[in-house]
Amino acid sequence: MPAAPVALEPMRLALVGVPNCGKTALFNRLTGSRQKVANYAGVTVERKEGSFVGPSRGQRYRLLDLPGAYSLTPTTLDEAITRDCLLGRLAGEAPPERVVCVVDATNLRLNLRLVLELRDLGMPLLVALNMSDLARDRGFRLDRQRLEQELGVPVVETVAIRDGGERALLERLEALPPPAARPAADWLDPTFEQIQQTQREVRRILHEAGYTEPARRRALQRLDELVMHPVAGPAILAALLFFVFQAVFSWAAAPMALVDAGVTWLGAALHAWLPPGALNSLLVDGVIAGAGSVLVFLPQILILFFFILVLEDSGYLPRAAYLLDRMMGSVGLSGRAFIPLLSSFACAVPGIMATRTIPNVRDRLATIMVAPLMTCSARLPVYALIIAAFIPNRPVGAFNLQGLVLFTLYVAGIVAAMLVAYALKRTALRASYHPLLLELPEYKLPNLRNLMLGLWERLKIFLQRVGTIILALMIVLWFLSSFPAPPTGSTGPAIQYSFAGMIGRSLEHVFAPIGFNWQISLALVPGLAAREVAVGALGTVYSLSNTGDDVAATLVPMIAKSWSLATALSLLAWYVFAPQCLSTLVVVKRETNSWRYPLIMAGYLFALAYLAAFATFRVASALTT
Amino acid sequence: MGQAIVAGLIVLMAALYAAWALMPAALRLRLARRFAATARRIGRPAWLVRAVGAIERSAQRSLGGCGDCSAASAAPAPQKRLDKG
Repeated sequence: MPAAPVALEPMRLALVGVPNCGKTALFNRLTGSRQKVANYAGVTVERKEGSFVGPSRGQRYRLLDLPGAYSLTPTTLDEAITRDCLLGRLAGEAPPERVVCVVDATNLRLNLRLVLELRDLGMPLLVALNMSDLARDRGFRLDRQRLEQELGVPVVETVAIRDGGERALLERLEALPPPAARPAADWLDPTFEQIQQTQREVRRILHEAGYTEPARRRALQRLDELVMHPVAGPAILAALLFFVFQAVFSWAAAPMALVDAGVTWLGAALHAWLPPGALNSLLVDGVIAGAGSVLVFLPQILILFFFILVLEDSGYLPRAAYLLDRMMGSVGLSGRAFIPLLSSFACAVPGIMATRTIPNVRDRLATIMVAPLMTCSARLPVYALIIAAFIPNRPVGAFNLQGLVLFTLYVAGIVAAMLVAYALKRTALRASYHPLLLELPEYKLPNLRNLMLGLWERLKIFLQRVGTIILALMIVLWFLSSFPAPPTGSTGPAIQYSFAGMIGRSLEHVFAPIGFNWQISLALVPGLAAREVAVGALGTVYSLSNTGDDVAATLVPMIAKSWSLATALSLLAWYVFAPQCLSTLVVVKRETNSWRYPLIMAGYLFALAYLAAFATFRVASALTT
Repeated sequence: MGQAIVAGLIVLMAALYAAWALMPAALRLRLARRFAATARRIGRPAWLVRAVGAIERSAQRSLGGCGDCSAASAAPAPQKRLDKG
């Protein structure tokens, strides 16, 4: 039998669907290797086109894989390209003659809004019910024929990753009537009421089609209703964070005491073993007292990261992003700023680099400018040292006072960031608000292996820092603190006459109004390399300031004896704001390709730090005298 | 005296390392390339050529300070002035 004549003009076909619905897998299955990948004119959005011949009448097709879109109301450039292509508004791109909307059968509630909007455009439309095998296996139930009746368009089951359904899909496609007219060129974005009406229609259709989700999914939805409730949600988030900060102090007490005892024992053993001299002092006062003071905080850092990893792996963090989006929107920050700001709690450097996902330049700059205000893990040793020395370890109701203070410091960083963002977005970096749109992953039990690997990674990073840059700076500081030798007949500790003593005393004039003594002033200088270096520097400086047999004494009792409460609180306030991290400023320069922004950032953050420390010191001094 | 010499050497190495680790990444890379070129030109001793080559590779990877953390290993941003839109 002779083959059917092949049509001369290929039919323009477009694949549409929400992200991750299996659209590209279906595109690959239909087109095989006959694909052409390029960009849409003028933008860096990938354009993927392929061709194939239909199974029955030899019809040739040109298939365009459009970027993923949740609806025809775009919130991203990708979605705008999809809408414009469908509406024939894209220069050099003829509108498709047929549209295949791929929907994920395990997530129809999210997918059907796009189907209804496409149907209303009046284009010949076919729905590919993808991942239908997975949906059945997971316990989803659906009457496909009824869904087809309710939607008024053909619905075909497909399994894009395997051979299944594409022949039926093409046969139904060829049976579609040709487009009556060009799609609605005067199409307007729907109003809020129209979107709500569409969502109601989605629920009605799914109900009529007998769509039921498995019991587990329903239970998780009920959990989400609680977790993302406008009142209960933020309360749960606050309680969770509160619990984390409590645990950072109470769970870490025993392992910290163990590390501390080990460091003290090592210092005492080395001091006793080596004859008195420069090497003895370098190892005991420089290496052990300096780097050892930072090492003590390893258990607290690991506990904090354990909770962050658990929250991330369980699927809770995107829910937290949703809860905080309203707050961020109220100060003018983009919803997309959440992930960079969240990353900044570990370290501002990856947080600032993550701002590349924010398309609007002004939104991105505002996020970069406030990212260092998020409390990075390098601040934790500083906070923990001062809290352990000055805040009593006693209960306050159901909580621990030390954990409460740490929680307050984290909140202070967030509030400061929001206030600065508010000021920036109403002055220099004014821009319109872009809402956050994210797909919430399913809840799951955290994977123990992932947790252990994540903690191992943090452990390696911390030990590497202590063993490299922190150790090197402590050795240099020991040298500056030990030389030149004190003049003959001097009475005070030798460090007072050293280079470090001179530097500290010069800086003390600047920092005396905020209550810092010369030792703190000096520790801030190497602390510019990284915040936790200041703890090691204080360890070295105070170790060398001691005389007699108390060389091996730990830092906490030493600073508790030497500082006033007002000084301690002032230093905490300083560390909430101060940009004590050169790497952050360097990465801002690299990301903005200008020195202007890191200089502005350093200027405003140091000014805020000085003002906050000054106010704290004066108020605390007045209250405690 | 022996203790003072050992302590002095340790301090010298620590100071060199700290300066190396904290200097801007571009300057570090430039210096590393210059060392490597000189070492290759001289061609000996072989261990020095290998060591300088390793330093050059390390400078290409490392960003210094916080930038050394695993989360900060992405490529630099495109060189476009943000304030020029």
